[in-house]
Amino acid sequence: MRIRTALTAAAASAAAVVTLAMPVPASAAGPDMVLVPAGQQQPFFVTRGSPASASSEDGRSPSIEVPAFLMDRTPVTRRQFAEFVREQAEWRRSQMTPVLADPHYLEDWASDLGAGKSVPADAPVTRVSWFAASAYCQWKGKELPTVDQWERAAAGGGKDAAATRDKILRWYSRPGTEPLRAVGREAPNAYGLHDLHGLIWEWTLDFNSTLVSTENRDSGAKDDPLFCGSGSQGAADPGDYATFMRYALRNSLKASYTTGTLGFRCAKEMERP
Amino acid sequence: MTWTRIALTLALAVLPGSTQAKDSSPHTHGAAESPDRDRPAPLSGQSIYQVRTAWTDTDAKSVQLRSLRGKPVALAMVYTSCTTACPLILADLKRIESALSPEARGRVWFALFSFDSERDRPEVLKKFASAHDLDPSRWRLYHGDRAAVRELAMVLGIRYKRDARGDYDHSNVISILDPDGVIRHQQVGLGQEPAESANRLESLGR
Repeated sequence: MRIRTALTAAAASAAAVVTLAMPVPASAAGPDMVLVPAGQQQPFFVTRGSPASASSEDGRSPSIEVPAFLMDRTPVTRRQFAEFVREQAEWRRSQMTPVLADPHYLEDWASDLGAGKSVPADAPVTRVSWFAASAYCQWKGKELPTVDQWERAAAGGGKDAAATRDKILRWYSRPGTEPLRAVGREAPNAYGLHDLHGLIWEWTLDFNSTLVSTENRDSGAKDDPLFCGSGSQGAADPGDYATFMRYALRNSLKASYTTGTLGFRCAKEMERP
Repeated sequence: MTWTRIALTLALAVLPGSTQAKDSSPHTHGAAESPDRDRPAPLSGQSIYQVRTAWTDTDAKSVQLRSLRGKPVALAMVYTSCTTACPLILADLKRIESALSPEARGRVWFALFSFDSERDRPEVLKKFASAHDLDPSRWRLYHGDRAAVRELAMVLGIRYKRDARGDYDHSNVISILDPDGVIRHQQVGLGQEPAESANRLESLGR
């Protein structure tokens, strides 16, 4: 104990070294983001009046164009988030205001500045609100991925779709009480992204953009021309239970919510040429 | 060596007397624990004015949400090129305005925040305000960038999505804020009776 205390200064001054020297899984060598190329993504919900539903009318699979973007290889870790709150004091647990995060914000951390040793520092940070996750990404010069970006990344180019679905459903069936393992320990998907399934749920920039109810039509009238926007939505593949669960979760969230299984990663749009 | 350092750093983080000593207890809020923050008066932790993103008013001046602080507010998110639900939500706001006593009417803000970062520039909003006879002494209209719009919608619990035509699907919500920016009531859906919202504004403005 005393030896450890005596080494405080040394450890603190070595913080930068520690950051650089943290063990990096071989598969995550190189930059911390990977490129997800531009491509078509089949949206789970099809909105009437969108190009997606227009193309579905002639029998083709409805899809939307997602421009190329960069995405973090792994979810943001506790260690990374601790660096953020050290620099940005307003996002420390003790400074948090209820409108930006519920009372469980980072409640599993040992202190205001770090998670402590109960879990690996490179386990994903959870118990963060959308506001905190969004602020972290902005601090890094990035943004949270949109739902479309996240789903395109998570589809992994369509490789092993059935196996991925099975993996997700197995994960759903496990109780959420096991401690979270470190990120990047399982094989990446076709884009080189780790842990999109099987570890945590992740915040998306526009998680609140799915209008599955008629809540914006609460006047009781049903006439299309009465309303802004394009109207109701339907599931593109009602049998895709794994995906349905993700949309259901997003739909149940509020931006101030925090849970022990909800974390995030950041993304960045490619500069348009 | 590196692993030793990591282990030490982790261990030290939970030792009493190390950096942890600076922590105040979790979930306490406000300026009392943070004398280093120079705030005029502590803002309620429930206040939506905690959100710091900037908006632009109809005079193209950059303002923060908290510039509305001091009076109760009836607030809605709209976009002016909407020809359907948005006029209805504006009509609902005007019904609330009419239901107020003349005294209360002078003590509240009516605020419209646009979803449409591209089209609803300040000058567009200014024209919209005069076209709809919105009394400039109590109506405020704001333009924000995409991030500001998203953050305000998040804090108000409003769902929205820009569709392929540049229109916005959105929940129709009128929020009643107290003078500190805390949401005290939300009127959800179009064509609601104005009494509840008006009563709240009356009592909050006293």
